[in-house]
Amino acid sequence: MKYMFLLYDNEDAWDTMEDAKKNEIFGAYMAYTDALRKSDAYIDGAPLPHSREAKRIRASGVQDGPFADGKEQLGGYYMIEAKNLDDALEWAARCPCASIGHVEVRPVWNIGD
Amino acid sequence: MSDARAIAEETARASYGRLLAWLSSRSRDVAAAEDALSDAFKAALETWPEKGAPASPEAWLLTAARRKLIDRARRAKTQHQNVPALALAAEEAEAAMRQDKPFPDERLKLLFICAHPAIDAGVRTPLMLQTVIGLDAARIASAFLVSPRAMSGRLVRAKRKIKVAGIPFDTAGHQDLAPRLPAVLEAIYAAFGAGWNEEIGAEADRLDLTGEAIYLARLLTELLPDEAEGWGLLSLMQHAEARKGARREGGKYIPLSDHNTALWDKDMIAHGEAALATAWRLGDPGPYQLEAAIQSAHATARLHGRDVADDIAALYERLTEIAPTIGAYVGYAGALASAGRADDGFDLLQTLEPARVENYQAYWAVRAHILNELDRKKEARAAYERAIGLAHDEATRNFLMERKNELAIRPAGDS
Amino acid sequence: MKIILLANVAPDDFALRDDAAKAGAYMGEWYAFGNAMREHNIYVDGDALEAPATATVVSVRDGVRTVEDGPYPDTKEQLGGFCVIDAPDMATAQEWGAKCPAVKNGFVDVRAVPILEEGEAQ
Repeated sequence: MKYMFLLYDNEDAWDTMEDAKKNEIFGAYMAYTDALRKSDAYIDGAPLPHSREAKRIRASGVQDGPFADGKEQLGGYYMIEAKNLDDALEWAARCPCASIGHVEVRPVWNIGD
Repeated sequence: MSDARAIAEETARASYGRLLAWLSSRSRDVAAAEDALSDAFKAALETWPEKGAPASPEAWLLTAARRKLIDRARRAKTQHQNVPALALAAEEAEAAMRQDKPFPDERLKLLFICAHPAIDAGVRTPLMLQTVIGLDAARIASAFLVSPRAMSGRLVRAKRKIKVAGIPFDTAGHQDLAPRLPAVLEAIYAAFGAGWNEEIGAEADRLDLTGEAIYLARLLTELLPDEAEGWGLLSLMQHAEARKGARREGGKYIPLSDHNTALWDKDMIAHGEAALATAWRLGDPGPYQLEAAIQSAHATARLHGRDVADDIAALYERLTEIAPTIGAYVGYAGALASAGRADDGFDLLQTLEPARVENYQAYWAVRAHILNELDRKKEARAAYERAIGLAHDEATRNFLMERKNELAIRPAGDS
Repeated sequence: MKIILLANVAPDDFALRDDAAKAGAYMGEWYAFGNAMREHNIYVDGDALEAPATATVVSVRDGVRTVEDGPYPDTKEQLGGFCVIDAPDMATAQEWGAKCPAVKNGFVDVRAVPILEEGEAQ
């Protein structure tokens, strides 16, 4: 089954973070992605830049980021393959974002099922 | 309902639960399995109390559900759905029945999936009641004080999530179950509480889920006989249920110390004692067992005239060590007062964070009682007033008001 | 550049998926959108997501894992799907984002996706 991991954390924290700490976190993500690949769980994934660089398109017009979406914002995602939700949750818990912010696990919709 | 009819209904619900557990776990589609069995189940509930349950109840249900199962399989094929999982599951069920053994009981899988952490905590108990026992959504809704429509919506969503998000039914290794057992116990206990919250003394058609909760706990002890806390929960509920008849008299609240024990269900108390003994023998103490032991001590005190105040205080002390909830602390404080240690009880209450107790009725009732013991009448009166303001029902409110008024029967000039 | 279009769908629109009468037309809009992107050779990847009621949230604090159902605020737009496109610039990506069916009652977030070589950090 395909699951999407939506990675939420406080994006502003990155602005003021020391380089040493940032590198530590990047290292953790690299190791995690590596582990996903080795287990044949990894399908796709990417970090996303700060939402100040984003645009939000509504019927009423285009809004510049950042947006007042809450204390944590979408900062990246993974797409993984797992046997069932429990296996997916195991992976989600290992994601560095789970310890910094939270990870939302959403099943992919197989249209036509 | 007569015993025979009650047994027939229980047989229908048990067989339904077993068959639903089997079909759901193999098809991974609880809603589809429910739908396929619904007419057959309804027929069983109507006819078995009249004619008696058949010798092979699951076979009866499966046969009665066959047409619906075939229809569903046909529909799945026309919609180009992959494996008609439900039809396969039904075939497997038939194969299992052809063996000369009782139909496998997979309701443990159902209990655990209902209490899975990914299932919204508020719907776990309703889901258990609907799937394991076959209660209808309207009846469940009534106990939880929501509209049938709202309850139906939540149940549909939960079952859809099980299917679509791939929540697994496997309960393979026992070690995987241990960390998830507390959620199962909590959900079963919540069913007991739902029945409990309602006005006692109302008419018989008022919804009462305490029997269903006890059934679920008994089932759990059958399926997991080595889990001490399951037996502890069962004992706790049986003790509470056994005393139900004495809790009200003409609408008035009767405290435990004044219960007419002739109105207690002695058989149920005996069952509660046996369950607790089984739990203790397993040598794995836990909060439900301690709470059951406390209730057992209360019963012993009333029935055999033993002084158990020190025992109860000791049990509460252990409870606060392993399950430090506000309820446990308040209970402990009350127990200390009953053991002649009102000062210690008061000191304990003072350690509790105000924000956590300000809306907790039991805290104020116990505090008032302790302050009275300590001859601090004015403060006791204020505490009773807080408790009265937080009371859930008329009878409790009246009882607390009486206690408050009793404080005033002293010469003026009191503190 | 690789750009992700995050379609945030209004609760009523999620409901259209299960509406036997309206689902056809609703899904038709999405297929048309996907086909248009493919015809213009900008579509890289994408998926629809099951409704928010199927989501589970995981967090870990002090070594303790918390798993919860949710979030499920049925009054707000929620992520319903996404696609990654290859566009020359953000302005072009925005034009495509504006064609997404989610815009009518919800919104589309347009965000650049950093291209990472395997093993490279951003």
